[in-house]
Amino acid sequence: MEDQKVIEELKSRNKELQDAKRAILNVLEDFAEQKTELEKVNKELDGFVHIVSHDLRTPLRGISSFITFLEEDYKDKLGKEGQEFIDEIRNGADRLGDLIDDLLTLSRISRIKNPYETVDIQALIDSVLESIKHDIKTHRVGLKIHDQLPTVVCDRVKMAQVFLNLINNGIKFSSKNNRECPKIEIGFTERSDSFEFYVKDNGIGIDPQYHEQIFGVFRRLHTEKEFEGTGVGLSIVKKVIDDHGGRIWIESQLGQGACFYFTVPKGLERRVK
Amino acid sequence: MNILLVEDIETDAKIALRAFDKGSFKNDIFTVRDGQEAMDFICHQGRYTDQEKYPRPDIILLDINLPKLTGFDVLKQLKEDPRYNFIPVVMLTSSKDETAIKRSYSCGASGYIQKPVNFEDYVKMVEGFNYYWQVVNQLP
Repeated sequence: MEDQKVIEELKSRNKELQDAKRAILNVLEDFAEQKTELEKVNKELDGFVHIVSHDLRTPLRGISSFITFLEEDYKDKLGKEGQEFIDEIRNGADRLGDLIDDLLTLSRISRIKNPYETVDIQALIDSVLESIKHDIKTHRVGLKIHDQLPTVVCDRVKMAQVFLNLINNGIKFSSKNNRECPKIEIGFTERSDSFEFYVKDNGIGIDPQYHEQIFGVFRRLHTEKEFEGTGVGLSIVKKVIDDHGGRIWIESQLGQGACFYFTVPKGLERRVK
Repeated sequence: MNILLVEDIETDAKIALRAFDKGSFKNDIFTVRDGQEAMDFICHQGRYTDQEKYPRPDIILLDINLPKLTGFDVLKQLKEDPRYNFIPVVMLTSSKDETAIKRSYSCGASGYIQKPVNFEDYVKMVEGFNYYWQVVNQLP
């Protein structure tokens, strides 16, 4: 009698477990469907941004060029105020051009999938620094690079963009430091499951309340007059690191420089992009 | 050196002509507005039968997004025809799309130029273009 009761109890539990398993499978199926749908929407959105950005270039070229023609052909008739208006239109057109270029870079980062490969980070940083050597010289940037940077598996092109954007950011926000020249330090720590890199500057720093916001598209904490830029650079960096399955964060206090950390997981060679 | 500029957007055509003028390009530039008109011009057909008035272009600057026949259609037709396949075709377009660049070269384009947004850059581009095609390079 007692055995029968236990059996009944077990049967009932078993049924509950089966029901729970079915429910979990349903939820997983829903997740998979939602993931596929989200990926599709994201892809469409990237394509949309790409097309719109391209199409915006054509009228912008018209505005920018015909302003130049107006200036060249009617300079004598414009007067001081007329010339100021032209300068304002040109500034606006240049800024729109920068926005479109950055949107296209962001869209390209999302669309283009390069294969993961073994990358010597030291050589990668050398090539990045070579591409901005003029800025480094102009702003008299002091560089301190770890002398034994590792070799990691990653998307070479996109990782170069990460270092380029972070170094450029560091130079930009350190260049108005009146006390000393910009200083950029790059280093890393090897963790058990990842490589943790950092790019540190001695710039104006960022108030902790804005640490999350700065990675959003078009997020800016300063006016264009204070620091030029469109606010896309760090979004690109975050997008690349997210795609690699890594993490990015900042440690900074206002007026005390900033240090951006990001991780690149190990074992990416086994992952299919 | 005669250039055929295939450009459907009038504003862009005006900008290109002014840039060529500023870039000290002293030869003739003919402008047509769509892919079919480009084929008519090159093949001396339709309203372009007068070969003296409309000479065969030495080089073609070809936009991609064109009405009637696209830039790729024109490029493909030219490169498949032994009468015209030696004429260099340089794509001149707003797009810097990687697929479009690869497709252009695989269809036989001799170059791919993204139209600069800024006019000063456009003039610099034209100067470089002139130097390459008129000084460095030998045309057929």
